Amino acid sequence: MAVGIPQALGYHYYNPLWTTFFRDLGIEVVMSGQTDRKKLDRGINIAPGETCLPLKCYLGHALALAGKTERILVPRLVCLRTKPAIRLGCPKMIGLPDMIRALIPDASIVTVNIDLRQQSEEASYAALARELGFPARRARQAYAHGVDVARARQNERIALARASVESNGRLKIGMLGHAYLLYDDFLNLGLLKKTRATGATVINCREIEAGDIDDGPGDIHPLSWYFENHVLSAARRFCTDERISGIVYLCSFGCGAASITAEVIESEIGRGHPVHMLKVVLDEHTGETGIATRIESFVDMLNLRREREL
Amino acid sequence: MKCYLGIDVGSISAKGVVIDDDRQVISDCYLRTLGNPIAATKDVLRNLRENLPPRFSVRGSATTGSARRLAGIMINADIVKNEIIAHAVAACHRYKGVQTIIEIGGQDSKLIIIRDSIPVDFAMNTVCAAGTGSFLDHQAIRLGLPIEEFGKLALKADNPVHIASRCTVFAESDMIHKTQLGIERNDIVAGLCEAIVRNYLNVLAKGKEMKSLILFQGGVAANTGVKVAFEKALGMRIEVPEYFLVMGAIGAALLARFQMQGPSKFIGFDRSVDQEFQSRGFECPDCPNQCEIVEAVRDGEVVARYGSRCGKWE
Repeated sequence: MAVGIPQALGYHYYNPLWTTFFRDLGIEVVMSGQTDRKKLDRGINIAPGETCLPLKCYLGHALALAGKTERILVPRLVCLRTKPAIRLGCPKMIGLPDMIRALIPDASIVTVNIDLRQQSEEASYAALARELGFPARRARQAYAHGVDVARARQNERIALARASVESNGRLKIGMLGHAYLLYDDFLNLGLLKKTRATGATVINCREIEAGDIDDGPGDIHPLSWYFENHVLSAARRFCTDERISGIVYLCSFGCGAASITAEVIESEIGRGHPVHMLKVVLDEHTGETGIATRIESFVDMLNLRREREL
Repeated sequence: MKCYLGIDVGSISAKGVVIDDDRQVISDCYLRTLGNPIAATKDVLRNLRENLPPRFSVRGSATTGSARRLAGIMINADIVKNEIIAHAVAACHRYKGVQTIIEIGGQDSKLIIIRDSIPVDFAMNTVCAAGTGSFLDHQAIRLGLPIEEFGKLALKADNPVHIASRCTVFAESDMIHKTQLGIERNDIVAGLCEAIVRNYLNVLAKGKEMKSLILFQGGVAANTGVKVAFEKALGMRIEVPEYFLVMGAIGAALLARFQMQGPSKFIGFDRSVDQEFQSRGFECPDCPNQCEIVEAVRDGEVVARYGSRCGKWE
């Protein structure tokens, strides 16, 4: 048996939990590969008009797997935290399996349904394993191993990021956004690479110990969306860390949740130390000049400010 | 005579200046790119050369604008710099005490906040070019007006109408409706100027403090209707600099003046103008990304390649 994993959207948050889980069960894993022009174009062609770029990208990855594997894993991310309040995935993550069934009817999909109001994450993976014909005990073991591997990987990233925050000299830029934009060099038009090429150190918001916004006391701006809370929480970390000179906020056009998060972040910026934010909005544009101009200008400006302050 | 060259090639227009050692403009040129940045750059250089004294020596050169890289390869520029810094440098140099720059060009709009002569914050339009010069151009054509008349008509309006400002396409349909209601052209043109200002302030100025002195530069600054609409919306006086069309190029020339160390790499006016310069594109077949690689060719010889994501052609 083989299961295909589209390397888009939730993959960038949950990897390598999924790959470990399936391999431990003895299931072959087929990856869709990195995003490229062809995948994105195919996704755009079947996507409904008012959807966001990452979703179009996901469709392209799913299409690349359709016909290649017996099944494709399409997660449904509904409720991802229940205490102290309910935090949800965005509407597209909640409806993803339905969208794939409607848009790619030939694809046979399996779903892991994460809704912590109903059952634990472990129970959800056990249900997925049961659907594939594996007993609960093996599923629990595979899940526990997957969680460990994912945590170890995350800890490595955090350690690396911490070392670069603590290193001296270079300008440091906090990179804010969803994992599926930050880790996809094709979708973000090489934004992180371009920023590093200016000589700046990039601190990815997925790689700091930001915690969840709900962990903080007396929050005035809780957001209903789970991933948005992480972005907001990371933004606050960046704003209060004097080593960070600027923030680049990467979001996609038509992302309803990010439009609210961006407003909240903009209203909060500058309360800590004076930090500046560059918002970069991605859509189907392929011209990289616009991105390069903004990044270069931003880094130049931060460097001028830093020289002045030193 | 020692001089410094600055070239600013944008999507709609190409600009160039030559300044002397005392940083005075001795030659300047503004013309339309007309979709051909190479030809436009050559024309700019040709025009600049005509106004130069018989004996001069270019000690530094810099390019800016969205085609800065291509123009930089073409003339072998010493410095290639983004527009934000170029505009800020020019404004700060020529106007002591400037704190805000409004720049609206053909496809981009920018807001640069200056404090103590350095840029401390900026914003650029995000996904689309609503409210920029090319939109005004397009509407002027649709109304059968020369773009130069646009601003003057707006000033004659008695009751500017409200026109949707969020999106250029919305604005256009709104304008058509208003025209069909029989509203006077002056009022529609003035309404359009106000819509552009509203769009600019909503998109770029959010959370930014626009303090005096405010400079308005770029092609759209020629439109007095937009200038007046800005003054009305902000309740502040706005200054349009003498060289508002070529401020980016002046900034580039100033950067060359301040930052040059050693001799200039500039290939000279004659060679720049006379060269057979081409850029040709091809799709790299080596991976599914199918990157569009641009190859710059001078007199039959490939001088630069760029555009690949992986960097293999560079």
